[in-house]
Amino acid sequence: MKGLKIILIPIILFIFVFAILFAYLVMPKNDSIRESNFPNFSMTDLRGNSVDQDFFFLDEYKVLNVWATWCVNCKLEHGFLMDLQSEGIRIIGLNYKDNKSKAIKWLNQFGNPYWFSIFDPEGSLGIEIGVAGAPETYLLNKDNTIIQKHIGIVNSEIWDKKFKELIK
Amino acid sequence: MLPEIGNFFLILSFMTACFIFLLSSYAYYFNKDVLDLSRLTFLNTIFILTSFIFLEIAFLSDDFSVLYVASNSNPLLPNYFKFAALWGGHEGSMLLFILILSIWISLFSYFSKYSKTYDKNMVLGFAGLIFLCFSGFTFFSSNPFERLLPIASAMGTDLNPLLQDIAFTIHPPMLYFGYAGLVIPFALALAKCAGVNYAWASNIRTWTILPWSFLTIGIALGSWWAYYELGWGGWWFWDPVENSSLIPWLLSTALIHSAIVSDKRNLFNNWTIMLAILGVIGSFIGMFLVRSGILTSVHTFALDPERGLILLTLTFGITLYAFVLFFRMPKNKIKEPIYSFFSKEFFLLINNALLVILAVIILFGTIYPIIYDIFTGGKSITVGAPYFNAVTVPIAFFLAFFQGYGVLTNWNESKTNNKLYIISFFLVLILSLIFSYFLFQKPDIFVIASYLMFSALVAGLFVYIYLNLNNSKILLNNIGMIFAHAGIAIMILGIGVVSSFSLSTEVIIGKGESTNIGDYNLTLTNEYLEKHSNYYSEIAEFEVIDSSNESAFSLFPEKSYYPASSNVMTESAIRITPKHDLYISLSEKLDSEKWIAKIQIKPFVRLIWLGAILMMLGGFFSIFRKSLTR
Repeated sequence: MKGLKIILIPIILFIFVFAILFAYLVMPKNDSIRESNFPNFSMTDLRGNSVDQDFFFLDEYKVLNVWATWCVNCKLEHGFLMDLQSEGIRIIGLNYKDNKSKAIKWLNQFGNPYWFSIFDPEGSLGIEIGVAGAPETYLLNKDNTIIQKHIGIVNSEIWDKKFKELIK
Repeated sequence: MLPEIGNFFLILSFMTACFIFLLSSYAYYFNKDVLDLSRLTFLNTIFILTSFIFLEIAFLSDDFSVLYVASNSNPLLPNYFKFAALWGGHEGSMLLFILILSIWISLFSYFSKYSKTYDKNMVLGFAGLIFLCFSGFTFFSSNPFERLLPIASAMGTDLNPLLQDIAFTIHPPMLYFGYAGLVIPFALALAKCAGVNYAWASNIRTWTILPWSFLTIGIALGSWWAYYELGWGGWWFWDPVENSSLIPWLLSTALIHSAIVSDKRNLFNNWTIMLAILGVIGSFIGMFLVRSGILTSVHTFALDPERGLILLTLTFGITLYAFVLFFRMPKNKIKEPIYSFFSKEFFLLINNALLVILAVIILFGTIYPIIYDIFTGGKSITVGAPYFNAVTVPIAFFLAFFQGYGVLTNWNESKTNNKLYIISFFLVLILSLIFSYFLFQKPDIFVIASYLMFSALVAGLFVYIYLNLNNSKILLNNIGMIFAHAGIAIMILGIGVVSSFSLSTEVIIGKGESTNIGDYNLTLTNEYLEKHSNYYSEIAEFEVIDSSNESAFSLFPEKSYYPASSNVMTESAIRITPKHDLYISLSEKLDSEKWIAKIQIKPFVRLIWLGAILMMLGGFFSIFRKSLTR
């Protein structure tokens, strides 16, 4: 019967959707597991000083936070980053596809949780490390290997679960 | 103690649902009439309502020994928001969802009339099964009554400030009324598969229209909230969460129409059943997408993947069960469908196909980032407004034309007597097009498309009303349809106009300075701080002079700071006039004590929500009319 054959289409489609969703849930999350080296780069920070990967070797562990003034969620995340900084954790900012003067004003107004912020107006460094949007947070070890990544807002819960144990 | 009582009642309602399902299965397999299960559904509602009330007591009395209360409420919150904080997180909103589901089931048992208890019990059994799954999920893996012992937090954290808003506190319950209500047509469809033929199509139609109305208003509230609360002046972002409420809406719209054909002409029966199944599955998948947090969005609830897996498995199980029942259904000898290209059947078929295609396209766009991630091994991509606009607008365009003319068609009609309709339809269409052109002017392609769609819809309705002027009974019987179709026409017009004619400017403005937009001259006259119980706001006072009619008024956009969660919120100020909204939002304060402000003029943006309200009213009117004429 003709009607039934048409009805098979949504069924196949829904099974496909389910398969995709299951696969995605079960699949090891690359944002937490796949380790990769942080690329070499040479750029400037928001103050205009030049920065490159060598800066990163200074610390045992470093947190890289991708942010921008156009990103609403970054504002929601900002309070927690300030707390982190006051706990003595050095956060390197990656100011992503943003406007320099806006970014500086933003930091002056709300407070600056970053040790320094790499200025990446074109998003070129961002593309190399695989930034999809802001906010994103990366944890790098001594050898500049990315060992943890979080897409979206980091709060204390996520920090404790994904980042804290790796640092200690 | 009190939370434990609430938990106990949650268990009781879970058990009741088990009984409902078991008893109806017994009735099915032994083909015997057991007792009338309606009473059990009422009991179930009482249990779950009690459980809900105990959780509310925990919220209102700041019982932070309950983990869920501690992580979603704060003593400084006003009582109203404490009450609404219950559905500010995952566990509580699951409880609200099952409460609403049980209310729907009870309403169905109370209002639907069946000649045989057996038939009714079948429907209640299937609805009970869904309730069973979700109350089980709530109790075992998302229990809101879990204690935070031995250390109780004294302060609690805070309800997300984005959610501390009246519109946003009623938006989720409205959506849940929609999602949960779709379970009733689903149960009716499964009962039909199990052999209950009594009034199934007209019941599906009635019981889809109500949740559809709730979905409509829920989505509109969400969009209205985004408009004034997010501070960007946008009203639809193709955000995954918005999409996942739009998909069930489109599917249930299709379902209402195909149920009409099944009811009146006994055609498209399989299709109607399938749509009733897909509608519910669509809404569950939407719920999963929101809950599991696998898509990043403004709304995501943080949820561990385990729960996501359970929720997805549950949905998959329900889907499988429904599909198996569907294919086991005894198929009638199909009679040759007879209808011409100009019949109502054909137009409703096209309408159905387009709506379903639209739903599939939106679903695909929403989960495409996941598909891409899987097949490229971890690369990410975002699918934004350009994709959705490009694919949905053309389909919506055809949909509007078929819908506009479709109103004028009759059942099983041949081609000959249609000339008058076609001519008058196009005549009114052209008139309406000219009218909207002169009303709004400066057209671009998108606006012209929306004028055309608006005109097609309005022309169809206009001719329809004109032809039936002397037959008020027909008009009254179709009052719901007329309202709903007029609503979508007005909404489309609003979307077209606001997308093309909005004015927007970003200015740096200090005290005493002024700026211009459109006919308005705005001066920042005053700034002050205001303290509230759980936040404080910086308010800027703008004095606005409207040079078009020489009037003046003040607007007060705010920036609010929530210390408990160190969040900053933008409260925009909006002046509503018949022709447009003047919209001011503060984006940030500079060192120089100057504000960066975004000032926008949004012409006819209210039409979008007016359209949604008309659609909802249409839904309620048609149910009201039906119950009157019964």
